[in-house]
Amino acid sequence: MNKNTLEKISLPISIVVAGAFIALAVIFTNGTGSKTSDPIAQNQPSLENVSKITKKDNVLGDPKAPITIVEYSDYECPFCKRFHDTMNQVMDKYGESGEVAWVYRHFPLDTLHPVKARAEAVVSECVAEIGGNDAFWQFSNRFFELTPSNNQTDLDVVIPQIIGELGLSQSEIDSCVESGRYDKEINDQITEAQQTGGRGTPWSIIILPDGTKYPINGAQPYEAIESLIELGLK
Amino acid sequence: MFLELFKILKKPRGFIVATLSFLVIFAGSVLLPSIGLISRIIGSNATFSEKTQVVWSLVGSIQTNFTTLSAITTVVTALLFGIIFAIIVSKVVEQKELLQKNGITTGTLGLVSGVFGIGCAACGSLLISTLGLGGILTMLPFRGQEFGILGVLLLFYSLYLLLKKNKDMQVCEVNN
Repeated sequence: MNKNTLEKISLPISIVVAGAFIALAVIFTNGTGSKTSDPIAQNQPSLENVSKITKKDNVLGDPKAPITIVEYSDYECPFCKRFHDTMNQVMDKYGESGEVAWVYRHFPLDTLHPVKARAEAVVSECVAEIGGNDAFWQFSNRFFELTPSNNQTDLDVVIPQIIGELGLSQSEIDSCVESGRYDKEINDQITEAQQTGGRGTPWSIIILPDGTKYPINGAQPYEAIESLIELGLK
Repeated sequence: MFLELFKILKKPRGFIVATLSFLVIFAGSVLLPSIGLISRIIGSNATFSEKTQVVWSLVGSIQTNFTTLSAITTVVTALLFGIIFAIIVSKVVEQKELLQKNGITTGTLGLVSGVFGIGCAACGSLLISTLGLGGILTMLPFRGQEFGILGVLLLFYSLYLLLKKNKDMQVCEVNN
């Protein structure tokens, strides 16, 4: 092949290569790309794998609300911190009226935030056990307020500070953490996040009254969540 | 060199091609993490205006779902791609000369690298983690945003090569 021919075909080849990469990116990132009749049986990630709300769940708002937002979150993720504010804004508008329930599930990313994210998830569950559902949400709100994110949180300072502010017993929390009784639950929630298509945090699923589920990947803006809620409420 | 660029972008065709390519790449980059949601919304029984409203609201994720660095590299990558594409189209249409292979190849690499950088959006780079290489992010100081920066540098180099070639005199090469 001579130089002129090479030069002539370089443009179409380059465009095709670029297009192929973009197409690959789209295909790889589209969890709904390959549809199967029974995704669970074939081990395909599917929004249908999201489990129903149980008493074990940390729920803000009326659990029987027509719209449920299930969030899989990581306490050390800066985008989860941002999305936590967005969700609080959502609950300010739709929580009081009983239109939306917010379910918080754990998805600590051990590779990005080793040790700390998981430890914080365990502490939050112990706070819920000892202080109740309200204490869990107060803990989460305050933690996201204080954490610098990205595995930079000083656990020896921040956790005792919040526990103290909530008026809970540090020794009770410590003994709960050491018991390891929430380890399996957190592992199950991580598995569920992956089985529903989550590949990063925050990963959320909005469930409308008719059962329709929409994936929310990352810290999407308030306006996006609001427009999806309005779609479900119409 | 930059006079030539200005000349191309001043023409309506060059300006429109650059603007449209910028918008396509920018929107594509910002909306890529939400492709699953968008495909479901488009396939739903919502009205056209509701669908448009949801998709439009997702564009705001450039502020919430990107770090400052990744937002800047996304905008600059889209901008450079738009300019480079306008130059390429201009040259193809006017048939002034054969396109310079290096410039286009570098531009392609820049765009591809930029695509790998997308999704530093949420925790866990979108494409990299999808390919099962999430672990390598922990070894990178900017957690994968390096790909976006590399993309911008390659696109700048590509632009330089294309403009430089344009400045060079047109001669018949000796065929060795």
